[in-house]
Amino acid sequence: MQVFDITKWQLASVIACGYNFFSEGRLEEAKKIFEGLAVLDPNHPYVQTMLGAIYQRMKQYDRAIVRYTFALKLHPNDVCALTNRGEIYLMLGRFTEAADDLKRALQLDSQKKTPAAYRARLLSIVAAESLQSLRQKHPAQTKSS
Amino acid sequence: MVPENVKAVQEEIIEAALSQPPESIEQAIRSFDWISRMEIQSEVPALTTAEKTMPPPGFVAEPIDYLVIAEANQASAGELVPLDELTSALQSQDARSQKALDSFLQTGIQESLRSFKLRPGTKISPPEILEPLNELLSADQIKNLNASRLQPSIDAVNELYSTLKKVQNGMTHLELNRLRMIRA
Repeated sequence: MQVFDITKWQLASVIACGYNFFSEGRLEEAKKIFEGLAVLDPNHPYVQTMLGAIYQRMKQYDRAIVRYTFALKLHPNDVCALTNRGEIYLMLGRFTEAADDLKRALQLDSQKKTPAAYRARLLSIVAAESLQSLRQKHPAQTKSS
Repeated sequence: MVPENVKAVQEEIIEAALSQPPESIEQAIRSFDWISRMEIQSEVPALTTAEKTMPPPGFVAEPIDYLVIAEANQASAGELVPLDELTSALQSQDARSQKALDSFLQTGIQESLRSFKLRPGTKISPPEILEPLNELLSADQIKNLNASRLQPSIDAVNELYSTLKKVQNGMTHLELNRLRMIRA
């Protein structure tokens, strides 16, 4: 059920305003705008992905994961949400989940033109190389189970 | 030389890996086995050029670029405006105009929320994801409004409005300055 009437112009202007704050690094203002929008229109994937990115940049990783996961329910092919959640999983040492997200992001970018998927490619390579070099430097620590 | 932004990522990955038990690292290495099968290494410019080309962490495409893909993928459109209409609105300069923002601030949403006389409920910490107003104010919920559930969501709308009003005031100042410059 829709309680409030908002026109396409109004919604577009608020989203554009929130994105401007985000791209200028004004994360607190961006958060206020997208949190407000999420209360008015919770099932909008862009709103949820933006909240994920805002919390990621604020290093509030648990909150970011919750938002990206919600966004992916609404838009399963969201390459930005997959790449960003994959990166957070990497930072948290949740490597299997990270690999799943990054791989999916790359599979979705079949035309190889999404900037987020470029980051996913690079993150995957850096992760694989870092883990391999760790095994070479510390073989005793990474002995196979 | 490995660029700084890539080096930082490497360091964080290694730090995260070292905090894992050894068998997890072996598992982690196996998780990325698919890279060799996808042959993606050759597609990525050398790491030394990554500084300029890699988007930052938490990158999200601009609204219009994101929504065009979301629409093609038949993603959820939310409840307020269909994706195709929102996309067409974002393509127009009007979406970035003060008029559109002014009109949002005049929709009366904030005033109608203010009209609810909420009795203070038990104080609870706000949930991770705030409850949507359309659910809290649905026909079956509205008879028994729960202040402790409704207040955090109303607060979020108030924060949205106060932030947009600051933008509106900033725009007005810019417009006034522009007029003064034209007259001068």
